[in-house]
Amino acid sequence: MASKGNLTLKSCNGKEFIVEEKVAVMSTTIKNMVDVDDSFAQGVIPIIGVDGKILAKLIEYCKEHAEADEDEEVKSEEYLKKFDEKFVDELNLNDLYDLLKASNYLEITKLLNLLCQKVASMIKGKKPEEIRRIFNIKNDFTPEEEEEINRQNPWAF
Amino acid sequence: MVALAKTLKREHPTTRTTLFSATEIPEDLIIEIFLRLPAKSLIRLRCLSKFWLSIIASSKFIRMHSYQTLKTGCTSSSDIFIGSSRSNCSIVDLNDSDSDYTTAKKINIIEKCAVNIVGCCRGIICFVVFNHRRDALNLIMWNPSTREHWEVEVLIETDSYSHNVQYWAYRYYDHWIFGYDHVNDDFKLVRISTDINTIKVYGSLRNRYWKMMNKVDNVFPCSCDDDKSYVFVDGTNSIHWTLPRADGEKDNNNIIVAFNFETHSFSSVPLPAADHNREGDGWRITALGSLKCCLIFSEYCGYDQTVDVWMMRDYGIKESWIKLAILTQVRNKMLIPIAYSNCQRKLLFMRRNRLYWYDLEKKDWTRIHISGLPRKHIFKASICPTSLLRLKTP
Repeated sequence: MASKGNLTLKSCNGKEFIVEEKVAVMSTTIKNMVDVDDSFAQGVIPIIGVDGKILAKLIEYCKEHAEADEDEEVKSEEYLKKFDEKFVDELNLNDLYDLLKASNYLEITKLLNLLCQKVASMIKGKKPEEIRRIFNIKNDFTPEEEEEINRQNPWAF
Repeated sequence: MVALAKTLKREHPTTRTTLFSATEIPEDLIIEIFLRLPAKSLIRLRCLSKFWLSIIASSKFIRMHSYQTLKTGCTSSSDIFIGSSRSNCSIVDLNDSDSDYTTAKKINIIEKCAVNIVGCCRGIICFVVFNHRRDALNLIMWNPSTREHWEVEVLIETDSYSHNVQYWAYRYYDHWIFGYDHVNDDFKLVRISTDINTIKVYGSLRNRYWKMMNKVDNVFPCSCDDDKSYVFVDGTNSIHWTLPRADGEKDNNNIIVAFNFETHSFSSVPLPAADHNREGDGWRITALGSLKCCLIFSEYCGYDQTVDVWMMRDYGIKESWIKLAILTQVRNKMLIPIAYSNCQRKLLFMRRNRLYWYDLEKKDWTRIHISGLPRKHIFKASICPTSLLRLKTP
């Protein structure tokens, strides 16, 4: 049971985390839950489909950013930028993928931005074939159609 | 990335407890990611599947993509540099300049006629060409990413019966500025005539013809002597220029005038609080990407020169001016900042025909070696994000 001002988040594999409310409400989804139903603020908030490892990562990120929003002196813009860089650089691909989906579901806009940017920089310059594999997109063009599309737009520069 | 693909394959839906089925990223997430890719990459992705072609080619996605670059407001590696002299116009893809060597590509779309580049914004480069056969002024808009171009005659009012269109097209006193009206999602052309002190706004791509839409008497003097002095800042709908304040007492007290081509109103943009009435060569304004104004203050000290580079982080807010750099012993007056990379904390400068990155933290210079740039003096240099904006069917 969390004390006043704190919330308890429970991962899908049963791990509980007690976090400050200001940290938890960086997620718009959680914020809406707490705003609408007061019982969530007292009880345990289940975070469906997010396991303990990913939830810990999310909390680590939100904690830094919530503290920075509160006190710019201690955690400057510069500090946050370095933190963000380190945060995404240390992720393995599996975690990156899970975090991306979790931050989308929990609507943590800042983190979602950061992760999308990271994935974009990873796929920039990749061949369509590789990108189809990454996102599980099926190619439904005939080879002729595909050639036609590529012919329409040769490189300009 | 192959590794990520492998990771995705390795997943077992039975043991995994995640939000979505194992190998599927929701569509809205893929769109979010694609919005952050440069136009060049997206064109290559049009062949992913029929569904993705329809998304990437949709006007909604294209508008969102062009807005995304404005929102991030940071010079990214997807930007291109455009430099032109009187006889040549070249593009440099800064994306290729990770090494400090890169090649400029000559724009060959308008080889047949004299190049007169008006400007570029939102991935579109605008040229004005005189059509001798029809005695008319033609406007060419070109998207180097999609290679699409649109040429159209601009209906020029000659103001006087004694001169022909050619005279009005090439007047020394006229300055043409190309801008994007983000309220109406349309391109505009602004013509400032310094001798008769009027401003004319031409449009538009959306209407499919170009003619004068509004004529406004300029209430401020046009102090400027060259094209570089008039600056369009994307996201503001305004053209900016600097002038000494006319109220006599403090001659060196400059102001920045902003003319909004959508509302046709004038305003002044506040200067940094500190030392803006210092004596010296005075202020000069440039645009450092969307919603970012840059002011340079140069001060001479004998042979050498000190240059202060200021940037307004939040447009129109006096307190948001920050001094990015103080450059000392700069032995060249023609040092022009043209882009600011927020991500890398670097400023891109042009000096004569050379490009340099200035690292704000290390305080050192790196020259970008570009082969194929015009030999003669570049009179127009700008940085432009790439976009997928359509010209044929807006």
